[in-house]
Amino acid sequence: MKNNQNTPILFILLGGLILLFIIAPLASMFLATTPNQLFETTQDQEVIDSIWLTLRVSFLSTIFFAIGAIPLAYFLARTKFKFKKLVNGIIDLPIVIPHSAAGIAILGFISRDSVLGKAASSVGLNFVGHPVGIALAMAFVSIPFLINAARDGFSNVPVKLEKTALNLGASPVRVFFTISLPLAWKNILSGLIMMFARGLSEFGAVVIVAYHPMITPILIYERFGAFGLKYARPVSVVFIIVCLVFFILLRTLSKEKESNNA
Amino acid sequence: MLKLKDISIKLGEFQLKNINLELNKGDYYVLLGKSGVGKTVLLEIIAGLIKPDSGKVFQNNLDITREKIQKRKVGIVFQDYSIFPHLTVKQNIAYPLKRKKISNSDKNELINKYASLASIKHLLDRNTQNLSGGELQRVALARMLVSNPNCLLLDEPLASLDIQLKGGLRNLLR
Repeated sequence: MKNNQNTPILFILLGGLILLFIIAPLASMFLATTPNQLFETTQDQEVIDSIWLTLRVSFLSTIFFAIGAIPLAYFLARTKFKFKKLVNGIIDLPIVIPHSAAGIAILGFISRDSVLGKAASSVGLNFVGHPVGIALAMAFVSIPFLINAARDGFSNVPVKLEKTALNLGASPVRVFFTISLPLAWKNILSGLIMMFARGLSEFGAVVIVAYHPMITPILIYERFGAFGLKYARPVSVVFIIVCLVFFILLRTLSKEKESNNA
Repeated sequence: MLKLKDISIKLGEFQLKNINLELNKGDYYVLLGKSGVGKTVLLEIIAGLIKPDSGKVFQNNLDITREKIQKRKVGIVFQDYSIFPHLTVKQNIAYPLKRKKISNSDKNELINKYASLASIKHLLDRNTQNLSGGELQRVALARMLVSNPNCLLLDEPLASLDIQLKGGLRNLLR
């Protein structure tokens, strides 16, 4: 280890304590779970179904909302308008409000009494207690991560490159798909993974919109409430392993981006 | 024919006021001036990259002041080249040809022709990130020429070239 910046030893000690604070609870949970418990959990159909449901719904909501979020991010990166700061603030709102409150807001928006709920009911669909409702709740709390990352990515693309492409006869749509999007792609990909990972871990908003079908964070909560820590722990460990896979993927991509920018 | 009539623009503290210019087909025209006097701004106004506050730009007696950049057929090579970093040299040169209704073999012929003219044929399959300033400038020039513009605007076209290449490029431009 090289301490090139001459960081004070005190900073390293304090930083170490914070790292320990993150690692210790997770490590103790892993150590408290026997391989046998883990194996049994991976064979539990309810756990398998809930993990697949969580992965599938979070993935699909990420892809679906990206279709609108990426153009919005591009617009925010490229356009100056009067209430831009307000719009940026609105986008960050889901991060700062309590997620149970976000769940209540979404429930009001999609319940059978709402315009959207009535429209869905007319085609025989009820968002409450449905994977679509889960997807909406997940997207609500996680979409700021994608918009912010994509906006930063587009902001880093020199406007001059886009103008050069226009000057060479390309249409604005072609410029977006051949210049802006590929050059901002690493940021967008990080944002997509972050949104997906954040959707996976959402509990507060989803539990209000749809207790059933049960996503894994709710299943963990239910097992804890019904059977106690011993039964909730192995499910948590399995789900954390699944989340870690995506976390490591995200960190690897970010690292690549840093080395490319260096 | 290119004509600027009373072009004015204010960009912060900087200002261009009532610029008039008239060029006929085949003319070569050099804008000279100290750094920061607005040579690049004027070129960008002609190319449509920025809009003037007042005044008009005419091309072949047509008012193109508010015409879209991609419709003008005015090619510009920037001082910083604006090479697309995620594309190879060949892909950069081929960029203006993507939507042209010509066969692939004709496209390749055009790419090779302008790459040869700019002495970069040997670089066609290279990434642009490791090219020298002079090489990048010639890629930008070949890319602009392949788009077959009616009017060429070159911002500091010889700045990054050594003496030998400067002579070659002057001949190419003629």
